[in-house]
Amino acid sequence: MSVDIGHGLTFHIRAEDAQFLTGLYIHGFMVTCDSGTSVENFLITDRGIERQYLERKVSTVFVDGSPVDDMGSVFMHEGMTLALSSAMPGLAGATLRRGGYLSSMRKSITCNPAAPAATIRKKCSVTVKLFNILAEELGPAFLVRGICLKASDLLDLLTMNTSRFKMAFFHAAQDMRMDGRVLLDLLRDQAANIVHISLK
Amino acid sequence: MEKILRINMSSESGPTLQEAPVGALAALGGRGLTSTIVAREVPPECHPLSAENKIVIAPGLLSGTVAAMSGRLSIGCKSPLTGGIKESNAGGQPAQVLARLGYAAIILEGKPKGDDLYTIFINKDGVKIAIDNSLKMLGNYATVDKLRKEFGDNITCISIGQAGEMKLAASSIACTDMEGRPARHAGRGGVGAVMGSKRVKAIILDDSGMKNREPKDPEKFRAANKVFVESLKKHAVTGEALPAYGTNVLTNILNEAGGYPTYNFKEGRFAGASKISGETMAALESERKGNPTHGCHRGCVIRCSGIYTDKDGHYVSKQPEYETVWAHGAHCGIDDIDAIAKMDFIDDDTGLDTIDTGVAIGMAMEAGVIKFGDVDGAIELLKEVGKGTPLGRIIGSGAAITGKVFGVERVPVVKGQAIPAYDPRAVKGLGVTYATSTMGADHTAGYATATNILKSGGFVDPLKAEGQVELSRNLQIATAAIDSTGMCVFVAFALLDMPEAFGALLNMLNALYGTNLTADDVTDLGKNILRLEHDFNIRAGFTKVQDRLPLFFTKQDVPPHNVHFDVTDDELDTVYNF
Repeated sequence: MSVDIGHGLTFHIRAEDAQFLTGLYIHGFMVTCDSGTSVENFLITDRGIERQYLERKVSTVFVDGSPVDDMGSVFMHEGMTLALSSAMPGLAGATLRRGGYLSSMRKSITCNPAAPAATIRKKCSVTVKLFNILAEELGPAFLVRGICLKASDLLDLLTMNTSRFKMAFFHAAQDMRMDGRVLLDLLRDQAANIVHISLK
Repeated sequence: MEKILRINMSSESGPTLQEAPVGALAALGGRGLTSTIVAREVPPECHPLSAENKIVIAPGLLSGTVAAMSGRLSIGCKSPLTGGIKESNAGGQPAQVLARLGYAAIILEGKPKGDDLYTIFINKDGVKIAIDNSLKMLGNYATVDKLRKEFGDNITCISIGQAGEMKLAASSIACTDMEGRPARHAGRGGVGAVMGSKRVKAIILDDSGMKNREPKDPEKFRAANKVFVESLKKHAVTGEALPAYGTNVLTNILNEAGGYPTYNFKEGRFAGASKISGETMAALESERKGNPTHGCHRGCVIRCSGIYTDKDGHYVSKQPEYETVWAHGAHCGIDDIDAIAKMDFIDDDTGLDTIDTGVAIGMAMEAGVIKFGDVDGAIELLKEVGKGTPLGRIIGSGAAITGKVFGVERVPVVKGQAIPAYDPRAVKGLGVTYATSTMGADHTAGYATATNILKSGGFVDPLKAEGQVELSRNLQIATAAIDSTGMCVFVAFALLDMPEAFGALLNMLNALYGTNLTADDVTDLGKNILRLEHDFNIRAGFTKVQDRLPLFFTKQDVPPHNVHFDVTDDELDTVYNF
């Protein structure tokens, strides 16, 4: 899926509210990056996540729904979905873990390593999902560099999430001198467009 | 835990009691003890609801001590759901209390002739059995409320709801938690029906005046427990993910992996997954003044449970488990977490296995009795069970029966027991365990337990294609051993990754009993349990045919990965080669 994320409404979330957007981080958001760069490089160099954190906490990684064992040999590309999670419980959780002892138990859905693209790198848009602890810990870091999502998705998220989630956007709306109702009307009007979200 | 209590319900003059020293069975606990007694004493060919069947209730080897996480209770019998041997285990308080009262096991045997309903009260002064027909057809919550009025607030209860009284094949046995709520269940295999066939409504335990079990080497025991607790707290799963979000943290992950069975295993992803995920549930519980981090028994340091409240902060149910949320959620096309919590309560109150019951409702949906996603219809179907209507009795008999009654072709069961929340086409190693477990489809039968440490059955290269059969075998052996300790199966995560945690577990056992158990001894224990159980099932009439997944898993691809289960029958048949 290719999405033009060049224009649209922009929200500046107050720093103290960023922690309450876990529903958004879990749902997934779009960012731009260089195509052909490895997942590992994207997270460390592009997003500023420390390698040690990556190794210690980002235990479960999916690219387009396939569990990844080696983040250095899977590459970013237009329209891909990258999902990150900490270590998960259960036999299934252990099986899905990155490079885990039980990885052969899900070999038919494992993401196969690829050779890096030889072509000139260009910008691509990808969807990132952050689950569980990582939503809380990495979500605000992604916000710093700015994220995007469809206005219609944000409307859905505002409906289904906690009041703290709503308040984060209502605070941003207040800073834009509009009240909550005006915000919702605006999102409905622009449902097909992209909204930009970043830290204030 | 020096004695075994036998209660024979058959006697003309009323139930008779016999207490005997535990004797040679002292080295066994939990599943090891229940499966040994069932395999020795229950005729494998007997009807599960007949007088010949027995129900064995046993705390684990470490229960009743200060060992963290040691509060799992094992309940064994011949299963009315699978027709094979069954060990179903539960959290809550009973394992600790029973062990402190000195019992390695309670065995209910025989069957009374009349329709009277019995209660069994056990405290430090002995055992009293009484007829109490006022409890007839009460739910677990009302039953416990009534018993607390009679016996006081310090009691711990093991009880059945209406489903158990009606001897329905998906009925559970409830155990009260720290707050005295009957919210922890030995859910699988219809153990409630066997207790119901003995006409025992509740076992009431009061350990007032009793102390924790004293280890042979208290200092070594304390030190090992400390290492064990520190390991659990340090580990990402037991120290972070489970306490914060509960087991339902798996919803988003399995959904992302395309292994989250949706609309009765038609698809591997559910559009409403994030609405019913652990993250969403925890956020709601926090906002509503519930509690997303709560233990199911004293001494639990992982605290993966929680208290689910409504918008006004009133108790709805304990925090539903991942498998419960899945069975009533994605499986049925329902994305309303409040409705799922309500169904969890009805299951607990009626005394039903949440997995088999949820999957049974999905069978009714598949057949068009109600539509997928029909929240009110699903709740009404559940309520039918408690009322004892013909439709309710069908649902309460589990997925296999419901599927058969309504002419459903795609019925996700193994040995008559519903397959839980992980599609075996995406994670095939799990499919091996589902197919070959002595228990029927059981996600806890082959947990990730220290296989790399135990190397039971020889070293396995997990990267080899055929590794998943060997891994499943080793996991089942290791799990059978852990199930004997009384330890919560979630300690497995720390045991898998931290050799010091496994060493601490061994040290606790050795310090408690004055033994010198090694990892090999633990492996042997697991192997012996599996051999006993497998042998029982063969004597009950099982063949290799029962060690198979339903055929649709091998023929129908599941999106998004479009994969099917392709582990061969020959490979499956090697699981018990040890």
